[in-house]
Amino acid sequence: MHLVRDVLDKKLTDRENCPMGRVSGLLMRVSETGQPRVTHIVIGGATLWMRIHPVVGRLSSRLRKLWGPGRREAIRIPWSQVQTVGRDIKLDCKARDIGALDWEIWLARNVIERIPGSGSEEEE
Amino acid sequence: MKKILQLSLGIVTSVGGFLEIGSVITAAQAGAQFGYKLLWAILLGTLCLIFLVEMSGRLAAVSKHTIVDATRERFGFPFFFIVLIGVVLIAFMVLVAELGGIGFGIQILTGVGFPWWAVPVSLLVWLLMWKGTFGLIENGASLLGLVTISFLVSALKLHPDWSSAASSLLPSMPDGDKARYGFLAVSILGASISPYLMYFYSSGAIEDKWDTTYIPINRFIAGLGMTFGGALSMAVLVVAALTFQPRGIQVDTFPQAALMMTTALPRWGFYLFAFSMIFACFGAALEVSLAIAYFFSQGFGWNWSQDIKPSKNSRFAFIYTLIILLAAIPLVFGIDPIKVTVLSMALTSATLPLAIVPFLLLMNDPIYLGKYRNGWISNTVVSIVVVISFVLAVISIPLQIIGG
Amino acid sequence: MRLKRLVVVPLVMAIGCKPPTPAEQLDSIVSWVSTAKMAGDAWLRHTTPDKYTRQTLELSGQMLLETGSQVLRSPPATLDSAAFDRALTSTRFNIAEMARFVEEKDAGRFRQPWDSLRIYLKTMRDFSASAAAGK
Repeated sequence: MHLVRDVLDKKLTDRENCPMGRVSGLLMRVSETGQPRVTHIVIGGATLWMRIHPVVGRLSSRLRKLWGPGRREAIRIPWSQVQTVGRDIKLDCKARDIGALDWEIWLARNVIERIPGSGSEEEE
Repeated sequence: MKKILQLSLGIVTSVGGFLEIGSVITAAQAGAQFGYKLLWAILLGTLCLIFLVEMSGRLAAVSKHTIVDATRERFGFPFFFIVLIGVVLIAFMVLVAELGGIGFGIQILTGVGFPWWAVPVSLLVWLLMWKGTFGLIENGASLLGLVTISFLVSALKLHPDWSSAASSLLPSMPDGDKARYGFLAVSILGASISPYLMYFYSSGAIEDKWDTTYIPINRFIAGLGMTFGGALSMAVLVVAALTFQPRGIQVDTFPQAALMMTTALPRWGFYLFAFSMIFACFGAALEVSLAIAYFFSQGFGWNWSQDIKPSKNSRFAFIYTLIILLAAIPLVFGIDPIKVTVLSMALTSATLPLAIVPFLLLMNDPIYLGKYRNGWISNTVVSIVVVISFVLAVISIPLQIIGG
Repeated sequence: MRLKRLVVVPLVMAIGCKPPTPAEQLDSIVSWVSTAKMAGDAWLRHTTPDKYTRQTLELSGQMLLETGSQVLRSPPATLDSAAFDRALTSTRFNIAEMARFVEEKDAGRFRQPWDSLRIYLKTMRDFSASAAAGK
């Protein structure tokens, strides 16, 4: 599998086909035989901004620790949860549970749903 | 049957959605100062746009990716981020100009200055995006935009010199201010080849769930629709050439432009102009806002769709809400939308390679398009026009400042 | 490529700041007198609303004042400044009268100053032509 072409920056969807963002980075471990293996997919956080410049990455990390919904570190998903790699990468998990939608939920609750007509009244 | 309906709607969309403040003002200024001589720039820009729009649709139908999806995936985040900054900054300026255009249209009808309309107009645009579906926006705004056909009617009623106009479809050097000529050519190209249209179109194709069976229709929509649209732009130039140039009127301000159709269509010309600008700019404001929101959402992999309620794609909704509100601010402070228009059109031309080159690379990538990759014609036409635009921009913009 | 863009953008920003040449300023004056005449013509034929017409006439007058002052500050060699100043003042007065009669909805009295604009337009055109020729 060509990691950069087939995995990096690809869209991630969960068990229910809910979009989870894009692959920001990959964690690899080099085994004793010298063969690198992908252990985790990383979503968002400093990993993404680090790819622009390490300074930007550090700044993003610092800002994130100060403020923001949900967890403060980047989300790491074990490679074992990858179901299929095609047009998108399908994962065997729920987006909500692993924190991929923290910002989405926070914005929905604190900004969007406060504005009339956002459709939140129709949810049960 | 459904496809035929889609086809007609698509063409109507393109026609009604083609004109906006940028294409009208640049064409009017060109006609007023240089007569028919800049018709070639509209022709070239429209031709390029036809290919670009067709490519946008084809990419979406075949790869089920929008341009932004494919750009991020193929070129990686750092490059994508650079394109994001460039495209979004200029698209934001265009949004300010379009909202200003709506405000100006209302100003000439009511006598109340456009800064007062900035907030109500933005709210109306936002409301339509908040409550409306993609279909409603795409079709509704464009059907209203058909009032811009009045420019074509005006042009015909003024009995232009057809042979003179036809010969101006080929580029020629002007007698007067060459720096200004070059600058106007650049602005016209930037007004015709708006990258936000590509992003909007490819997202629309995904929203409408296109597949490879839509490829022939896509060609028709792009070809016929944009041709009609280009013809409308040319009509504006011709009308300006026949009404303003003989009188020595330069179109520096919107109130001057508003006189454009008063001789050709005495009873309704003024009001047709006002409503043309209001509806055309309204449609464009919706498209640009959506294009910016799509850019962020698709690029970062958020949930995005105009057809689902805002609470279900809060980041997408947040982006368009934010930018529409921000765009109203310069207008409230009285920043001249005409100046913003002309500047954003010239900047579009100067930064076209940033948007188009990665797109062209994608269109030739077998992973995304398989056997539907670009032929040599598409590649050649687009490359040539982009090079011309960029070179012209880099030469004439500084000359416009230093020379003269 | 990126460097070129860094150079182009600030240059483009400076476009609005580029001062016009005297010839361009005189062309602009012709443009505004002509605008006033065309707006007046449209109003007489009942094709434009009163508010728009009055505001456009006032805008024309204001632009003539601003641009005229700039020309007089550094006039081209071939320009007879005194004659130009007189013509400009009369033109502005005419346009102000036109605006007043639009506000009073008096088409009858409007005609005379509007008709006189023809002469002032020609005068301004002559000034502009001689400035362009003298370049």
